[in-house]
Amino acid sequence: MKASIHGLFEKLKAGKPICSHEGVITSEVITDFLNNVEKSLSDAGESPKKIRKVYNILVEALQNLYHHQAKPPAEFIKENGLSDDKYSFCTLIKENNGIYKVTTGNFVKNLTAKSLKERIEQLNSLSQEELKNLYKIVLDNDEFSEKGGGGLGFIEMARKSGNKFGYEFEPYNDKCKFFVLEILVS
Amino acid sequence: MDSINIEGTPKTPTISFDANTGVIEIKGRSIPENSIEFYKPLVDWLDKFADVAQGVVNVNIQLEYFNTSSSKCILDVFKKLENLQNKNRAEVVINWYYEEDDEDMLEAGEDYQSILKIPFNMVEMAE
Repeated sequence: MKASIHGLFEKLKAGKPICSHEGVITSEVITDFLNNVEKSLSDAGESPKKIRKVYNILVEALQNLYHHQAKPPAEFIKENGLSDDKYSFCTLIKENNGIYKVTTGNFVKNLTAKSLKERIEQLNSLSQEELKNLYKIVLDNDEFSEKGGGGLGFIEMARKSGNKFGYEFEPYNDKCKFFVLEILVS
Repeated sequence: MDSINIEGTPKTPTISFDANTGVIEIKGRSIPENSIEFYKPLVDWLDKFADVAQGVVNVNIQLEYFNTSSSKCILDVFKKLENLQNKNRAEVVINWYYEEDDEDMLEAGEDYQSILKIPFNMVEMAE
């Protein structure tokens, strides 16, 4: 399983992404990624409505990675010759049926993986109306996490996507998993 | 009291908070990684504004994009304005601008409207 993470990114890239990034996610990486996507979709004649949805989802997906990118295991850093101690990836692909697919990947600790899985499954079980109500409750709860997140990112992505999240937790070692999240914009 | 004027960047909105005219504007994109850092001075300004505000306070919100951490900070701004009204300091009107085909932005405005007790005008703009 270990070698498959970079391989997975390479496989996603082979699908000719509109934009992709592998490595540390900085504020500059996010700005460049968003600018590239906005320009590419606009040049391709995509509707402003679709561009806005893809853009909104990417903002949340990239900033989730930015705030929560955990340090990869030492053996991963060594095996892949990484110079940074952070690793995530993000790709945006347009599939043949016209659906846009955002895929992100990052390491998470086992305990985080468990709560993330529960959260995603909970959101996947809600209707658009239920997501809207949950969004309003969380918006008004005055809570910010220590990393500055408002707990709304996943709810917003689910609302904007209108599709269920796809996800996988690839076991990496006894402490962590590699989390792959897939968000579709139809 | 001093006004606040901040020029917009690709990730932060143009800000114009004018204590003399009572016009408060947030325009552009609000997608910073650290929204609290950006909005804290604005929320603090509104606390001071509560002592001098009078008449009508016009609030113009014209956002193209905003991220979810900004959405909480924008609610904080609105709550300060709601307080202003509750204390009978001023009459607050929020003008929420959205492009004509941007139903998501209209819905975002309606989400705020349902949480707050201040009047919202939904203003559609031709693209």
